[in-house]
Amino acid sequence: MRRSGTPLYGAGLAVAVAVAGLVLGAFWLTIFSLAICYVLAALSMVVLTGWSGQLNLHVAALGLGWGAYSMYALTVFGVPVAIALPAAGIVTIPFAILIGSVAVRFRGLELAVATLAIGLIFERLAFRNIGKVLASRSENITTFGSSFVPVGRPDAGVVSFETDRGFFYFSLLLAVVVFVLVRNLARGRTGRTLRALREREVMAESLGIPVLRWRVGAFAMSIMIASTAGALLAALKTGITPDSFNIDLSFRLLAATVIGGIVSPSGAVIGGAVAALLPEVVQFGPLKMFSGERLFVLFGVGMILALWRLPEGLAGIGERLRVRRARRTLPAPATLPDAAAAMPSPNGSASVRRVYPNTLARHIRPTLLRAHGVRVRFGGVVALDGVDLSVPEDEIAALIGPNGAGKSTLFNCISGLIEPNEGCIYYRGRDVTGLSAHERAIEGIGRTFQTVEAFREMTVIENLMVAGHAGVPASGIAEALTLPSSRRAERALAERAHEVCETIGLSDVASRLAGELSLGRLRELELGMALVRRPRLLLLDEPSAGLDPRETAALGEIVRRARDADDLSVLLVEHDMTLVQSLAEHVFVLDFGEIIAQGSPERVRRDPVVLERYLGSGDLVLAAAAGDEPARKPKAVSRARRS
Amino acid sequence: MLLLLQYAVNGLAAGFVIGLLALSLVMIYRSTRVLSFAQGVIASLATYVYYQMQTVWEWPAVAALPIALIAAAIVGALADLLAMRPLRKADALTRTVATLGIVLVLQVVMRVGWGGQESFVRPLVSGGIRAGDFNVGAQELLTAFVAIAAAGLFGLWTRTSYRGLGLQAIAEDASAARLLGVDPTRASMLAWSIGAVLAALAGILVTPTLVLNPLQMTLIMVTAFGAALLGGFTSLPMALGGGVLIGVVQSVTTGYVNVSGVSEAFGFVAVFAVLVVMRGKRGAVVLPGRSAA
Repeated sequence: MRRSGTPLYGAGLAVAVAVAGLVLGAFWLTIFSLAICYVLAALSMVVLTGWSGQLNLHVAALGLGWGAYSMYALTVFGVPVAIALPAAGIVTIPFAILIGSVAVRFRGLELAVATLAIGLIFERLAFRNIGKVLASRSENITTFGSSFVPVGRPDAGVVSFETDRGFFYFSLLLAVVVFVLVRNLARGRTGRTLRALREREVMAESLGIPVLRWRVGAFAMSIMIASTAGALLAALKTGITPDSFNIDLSFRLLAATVIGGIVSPSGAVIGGAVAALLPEVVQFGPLKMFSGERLFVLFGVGMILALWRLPEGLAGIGERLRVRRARRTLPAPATLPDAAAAMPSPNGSASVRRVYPNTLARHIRPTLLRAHGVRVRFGGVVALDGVDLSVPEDEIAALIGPNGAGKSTLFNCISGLIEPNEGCIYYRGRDVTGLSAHERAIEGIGRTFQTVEAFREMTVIENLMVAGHAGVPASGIAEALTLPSSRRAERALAERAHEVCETIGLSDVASRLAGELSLGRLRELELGMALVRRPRLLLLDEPSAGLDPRETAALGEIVRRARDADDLSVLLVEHDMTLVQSLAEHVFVLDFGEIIAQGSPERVRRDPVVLERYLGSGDLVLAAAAGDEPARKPKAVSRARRS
Repeated sequence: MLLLLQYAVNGLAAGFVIGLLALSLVMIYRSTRVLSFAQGVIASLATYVYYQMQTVWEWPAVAALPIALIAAAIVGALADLLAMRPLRKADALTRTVATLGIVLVLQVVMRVGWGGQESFVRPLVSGGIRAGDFNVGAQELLTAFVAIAAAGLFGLWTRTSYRGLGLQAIAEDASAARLLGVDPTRASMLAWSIGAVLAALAGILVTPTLVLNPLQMTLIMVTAFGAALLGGFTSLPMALGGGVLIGVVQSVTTGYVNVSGVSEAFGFVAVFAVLVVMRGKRGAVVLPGRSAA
């Protein structure tokens, strides 16, 4: 979906089709109108599957059928077709949201099965009986069999769209409008957000994106587009039966969309065209052996081939060619300058760790974060056993402790991914224990993860922009219409992203995919993502894991500078004691789910309990090497078993 | 009351067929993480092969049945070879979508081969038993026997035999199994062949009570998803039991509720209900579509 074609191609295609409409006969006009319906249906699948990674297996019933029957219902109640048809998509919204809220509880294959089941219930049960009930109200019952219901074509009084040509232009206009709106969303915040949460839901949530709401939104939007397609289809065929929306049509449309390209709006155009035109094209020439129902072989084989070789479908071919051409014309990229090398030496005079003159100096500062009696149990294992901890404003604090001590669990409690069994988290004087992860992110708690969680299929800048979405009010309507307000917001977001990109020293790779970066630079990117929204509290989960000393030092420098630039407190989980020594103003030591010591790095280093339980393990190794008795070995064993 | 029981008994036969299809879904899902939508068309295709030999050429059933089952195994293996193997690196959702490609292709094979017309198949065994006030057909008894035997045999096989344990290991942890020397591509082909044979049995056993057409079994298969879900897509006996449960409730419901389409739609309502209940019970994803990386 990266910039699929230019608007010029799309506009050119629309004009060409419009001109073709002047000369085509009635038969081909109908076929083209059908293609337009299918393009919209395919577009609905692009929104749902291509963007948000959800699969609706019965789009014909759970989409097209709804639109068709909604429109029919509207006309039965006396709404003119010219209004009922475009309105069909809007009428279904509440219903779409309802079903969407149920459906998003299911993930992946479960959702596929759920949509198939719900769709079949509609196809086999609901439509049939709705048709019957409504037909008994309407006067013009011309039933071929009880389930057929007639649907008119729009007639706007002055302009009639009842002829094949008129209806063709009506469909084209409607489709172009929908297409442009969807494309605008694809390029803006909506497209970015959905791609992000398709890739990594937890990360998106911790960036302040309300994942569930977005998934419902994608579902509703997809249904809305498909409903419009269904209403068009009903008007085109001037009548519907429940069998017009059978499972065969769903499978065929899905196959055609996958062949066209399920990740981009232009793929939907190709897919829709394939679904409607291919049956006619194969009537001629050597393809004649695939005429009629044999055609489905092409759909089936084509879909499998596309999934195998062309995940972005036929629409992806153009993109690939363009990338290849661009690669050829551009000089080979020089070896990337190392981020760490670009940074000033950490031992230089850039900035020095702050030291509290005495214990009281820390206590009198206003508290930003306080954990009170936090207790977490996983089954029988107590991961956190009444942790108390507080971080004042504008402090860099470190949380150290052996593996399995509960550090990450505590982080997850603070950022809202885990709800503690007991205890509270206070943030800026407020109890935030009941808030969800994305709500806390909006409140200003940013975090990074121990594992790399950046969105690999998006560019560095896109990653930073997604990270900036939360908490900034935005209207989907403004975005779809590219109103000035939305363009301004987008520009501000891009500016902030570039600013952060500079801070973390990734400007040279700003338009690269995150998946192409080295681990060190990915960690910097994630740090940047946490910084975009100017958090008040930054939680860093083992930022130095997997980095070499130079990269670690560079990362530490970024953290310190970020703290000095913005008012922000940092709490980091870290094993690298050099980094902790150089960065942290206060250290908490966690072991067996309890804080066993805290204080300045120097004090903690000398603390006898810490020496024995954690830092001492290093001495233990030395002692063992020197031939002393390894007295504390059993403890290590028991810990390993517990974690 | 008597009517209710007769409805329930009638539902048992349909239930065992749903159960057989559920077994075939579970066999494939367990070792490949793919939800095969092709089991319905594979069942129909095998039944058409059986129909050709038994009804058109008038061969004896003892000859026709094994050949039809072998044909099904070959079709299953081919489906794996041509559609699944190229996609072995793709995520489960992608491979599941690819099984729809198999559905489209095999449908055409049936339409071209048999004109897509609705055909009738003679039962394997005729006659029935009258027990008290109930009528039970011999074919229904055979269906129950085959289904229970299949669940038992394959359940035992996956627990005890080397190959069966290999399938199980792949289900638990594919990369660990590979490191231990289990070849996932061969395991996948084996699973698809077994799944196809189970589906074929379901098709051949149920068709005398239905008309044979290319899509009929696909709709029964959707109901079988519900049965398989009741077994968490891992347990064979639970899947079979789930199928029987759904079959009985379906038969009783359609006996008493007289709304057009209810008999067809009941299975789908059941699937949805099972999904909701299973989620409520576990609160976890029963069928993860993509790895939670």
